[in-house]
Amino acid sequence: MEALVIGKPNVGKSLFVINFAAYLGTKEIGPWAESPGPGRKKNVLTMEEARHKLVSPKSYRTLSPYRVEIDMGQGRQRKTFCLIDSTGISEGVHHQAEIRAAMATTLTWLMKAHLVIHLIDVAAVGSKRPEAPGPVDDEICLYAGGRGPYLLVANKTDKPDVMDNLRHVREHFSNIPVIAVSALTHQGFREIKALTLRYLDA
Amino acid sequence: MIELLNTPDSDSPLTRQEVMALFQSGNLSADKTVRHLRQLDTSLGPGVVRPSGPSIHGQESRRNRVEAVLHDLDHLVGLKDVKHMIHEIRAYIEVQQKRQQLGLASSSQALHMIFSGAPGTGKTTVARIMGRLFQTLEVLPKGQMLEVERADLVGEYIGHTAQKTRDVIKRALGGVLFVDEAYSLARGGDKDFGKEAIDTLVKAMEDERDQFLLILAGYPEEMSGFLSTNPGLRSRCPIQMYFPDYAPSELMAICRDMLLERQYQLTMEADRQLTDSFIRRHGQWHVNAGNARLVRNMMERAIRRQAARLMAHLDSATRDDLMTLTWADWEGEW
Repeated sequence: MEALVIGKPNVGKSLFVINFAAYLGTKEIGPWAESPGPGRKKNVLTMEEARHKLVSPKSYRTLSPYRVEIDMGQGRQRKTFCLIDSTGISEGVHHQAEIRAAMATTLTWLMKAHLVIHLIDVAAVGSKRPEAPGPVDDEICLYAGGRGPYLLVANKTDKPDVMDNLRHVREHFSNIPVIAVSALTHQGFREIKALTLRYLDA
Repeated sequence: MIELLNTPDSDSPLTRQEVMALFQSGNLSADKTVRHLRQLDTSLGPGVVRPSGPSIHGQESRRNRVEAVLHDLDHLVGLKDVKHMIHEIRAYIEVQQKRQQLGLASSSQALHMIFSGAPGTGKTTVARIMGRLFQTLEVLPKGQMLEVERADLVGEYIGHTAQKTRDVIKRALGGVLFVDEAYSLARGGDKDFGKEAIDTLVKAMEDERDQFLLILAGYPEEMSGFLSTNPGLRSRCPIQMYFPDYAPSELMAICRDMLLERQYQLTMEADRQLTDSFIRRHGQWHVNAGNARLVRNMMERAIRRQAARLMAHLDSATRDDLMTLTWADWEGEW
């Protein structure tokens, strides 16, 4: 099963993937499109390296999908799924062809992922920053929410004064439960884990 | 394509590839792209169920799960009669269950099946869907699907076969037993143990009628030979489905589906030429050419050839180049 983490640029997708995977006990992350073979180990990053390489306060740090194989061992039933970190989808048309191509890859994943984890930046609600929730988020929510298992995650709850914004988000997406999460402090990871497990069973 | 480029806002029916191409060339904004993708996703629409998994808004009802299975079935290309038959079976089962709820007498009909058809016409695919369908319909208590072949049924010495076959049936009780390439049980001649396996199966088919469902699959000619090995076999399988060879247009649809799944696309030229050649060769294929499997083999060859072609200038290849198969990749003897 593949779980795609999607959202606007700089909402914290990569940090979420890395920390959530680490929370579930995984130690390595690798590029999606790598061929298995003798040279395989080369591109695999440990969590610490990945944090350096993929996480930054600037947009578009992740330019190709990364994946983590996650093993959710529960008793005798070993369940594995694949968490995919993707390039952020920005509002409007991006001027760089390279980034548009990367976003296209993300959108192709959106069409076929089994579970979509949609991140929004709750600290940026109402601001003019590129990571503020906008029409793209509405569309992704409509599409992915209608297509199959879908989680709407409000990230960055560790920032100050987010409760008001969280309420706005909950009002805006009134028909969908919004899970409050902080990728930095691991807040809300338990809920995400429980929900992911539930979808894995299905 | 030109008009589409000029009016990306119009709600004209595009294909997913066109939407992606427009997005990449910077003619479509991200939110509109996602909206178009949503509108083009055939698995959505008013009243249509989600493809898999329970929704966040509570457990999905049984009906929705059944619809989801049938949706997968209807997504297969061609096979009109088979689909019709399966919809009939589903209706029959639902009506019987409703009758039972209202206290009416409900008959229990044996639903053992025979699937016959040339190689690559979708027998195994449909059998797996049947397994899921019966599970969601809750006709069979457990609904597991056991896929076996000759080697799983036939034993090593006299008397071993019956025991082995009975063990397999015991495991399949409460679910579906799918015997692929069933004719191979009848191949070895009179002294072969395969016959013993058939006899054991026939006995169980009657005795455990409500307990499990047997699907025997194989090629048409071999299957008719197989059915004649035990006189009781044919009458105990009231449902016989014949999987016809695919028509050229259906082969083409299969080809497009497979390409989409692997993220490749055909040039206009390749699409036209390929359709042409399917039509030209229709009826002249070798009997065991392989239908859908042939298409897959052809496509895999085309993908290899494309790779060889791109190798020369790999560094300058764009995303588009990597996705496009030209007619030159397909051409040649198949």
